[in-house]
Amino acid sequence: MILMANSSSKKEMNPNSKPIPIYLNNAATSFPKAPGLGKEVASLMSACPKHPGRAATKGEDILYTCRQEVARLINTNNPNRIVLCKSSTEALNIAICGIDLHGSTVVTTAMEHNSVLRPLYRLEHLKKISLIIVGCTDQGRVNEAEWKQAIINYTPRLVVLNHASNVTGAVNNAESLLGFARKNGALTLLDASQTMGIITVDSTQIPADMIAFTGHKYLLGPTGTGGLYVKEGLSLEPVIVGGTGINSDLKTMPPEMPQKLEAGTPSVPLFGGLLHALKWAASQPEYHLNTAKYLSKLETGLKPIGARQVNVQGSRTFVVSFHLPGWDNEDVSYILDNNYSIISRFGLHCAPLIHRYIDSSSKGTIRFSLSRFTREEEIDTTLEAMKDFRQ
Amino acid sequence: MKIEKITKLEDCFDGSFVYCYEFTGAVDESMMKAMAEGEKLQYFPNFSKPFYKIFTRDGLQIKGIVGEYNIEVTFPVTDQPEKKKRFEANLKLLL
Repeated sequence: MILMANSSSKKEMNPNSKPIPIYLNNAATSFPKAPGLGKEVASLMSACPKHPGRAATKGEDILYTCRQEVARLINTNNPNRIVLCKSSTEALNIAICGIDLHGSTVVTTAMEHNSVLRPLYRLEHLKKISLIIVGCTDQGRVNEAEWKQAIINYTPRLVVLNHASNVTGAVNNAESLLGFARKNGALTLLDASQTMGIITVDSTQIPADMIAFTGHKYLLGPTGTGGLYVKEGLSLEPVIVGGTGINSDLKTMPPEMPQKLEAGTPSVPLFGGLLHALKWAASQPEYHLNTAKYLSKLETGLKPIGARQVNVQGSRTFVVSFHLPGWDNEDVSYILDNNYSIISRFGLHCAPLIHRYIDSSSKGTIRFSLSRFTREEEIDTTLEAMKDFRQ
Repeated sequence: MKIEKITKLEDCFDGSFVYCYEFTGAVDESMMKAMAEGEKLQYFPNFSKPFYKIFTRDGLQIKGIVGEYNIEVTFPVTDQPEKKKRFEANLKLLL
């Protein structure tokens, strides 16, 4: 449980004491994690390794159970189509570089994170693809008309779509956008890094051939975990090759999924941690209403302070992005951290293109991102602290 | 007071270099004024602990909170190693 100094006590705070922070940087990585996560990972680290297929030990196959839980979450019935990897970035690289894109066009959006943009820029630099980047609205949501036009004009082999912006929290209509792309012959890749755990990502509803996700954000698992869902029938070439524990006499990666795309010894303790977090989240009641209420309170409270916020309407995650005229974003974050123990994030948020479209300063935005564990008192304390910026 | 640790910080802009200098003691108001001598000082006393920012003729930006044990220094891209060396030499004279 997070403890914090409340607003009335901040003036009396011992200058050298470091209270436990108010953590509003959940879009980067969540904190706290699922209760009991640390204990679970530590227990697996100190236990005798169990990895059926590689070590002749009995017991639960944690990796398979983890795949099952992810499969349940995205509503697919074949856990072997879930490739476990260390991050969303790795998953996106496996997807983008695993398809033969030579000589084709890829359509993506200005909302994307560098985990999508940089692999695509590299392929473009190597002259393997032509890259088309579709713009977005002032809320940071894909411009749907431009998306459709790009697909009609360029008939891409692959489209890559961010489910929700990590900068503004705006959620795209993935069903419609990917549906249109698929109808026009494109393979579809959804980056669900910002949505898995808070927005339904249903593979039977969203026409995605691949879905990349991370374990350490809203799934409340450890860093070092993520994965890629690959639709039945779609075959990717492995990006990394090596040992898999099966078919060791082959010179190539085994054709079976998920081993084909999972070279190297996996981190069973970390995926055990992710499994623990997934089970914990599945056992908890709905929490969105409170978090949405606190987000709204935060946005309303920032207005009289003069914050220029990206005004996001409709479906969204628990993110507010803003800048304070007269202040450098990094200074605001620095003061919040060092003076009030409030953790935010400033800058471009690794999504450099979106800032051309939203009301952002030349140095990006300050971002507060909430989680299911954010408490109303923490929002109140943050708003009290923000009032001090009215010099 | 001594420099305890120097850490390079992440910055996603323009290739400038940001370092955090941690000290064995607190940077008080007199230390802040010493660093700002002959330079441009911005001082914000309204926070529970005042915030300051110093802009030097060398193009450095130094920021900190009065009473904290650290400062953050942004060095410009040009002549960064020389400017860092010069800053650290001057800083040691003030400690």
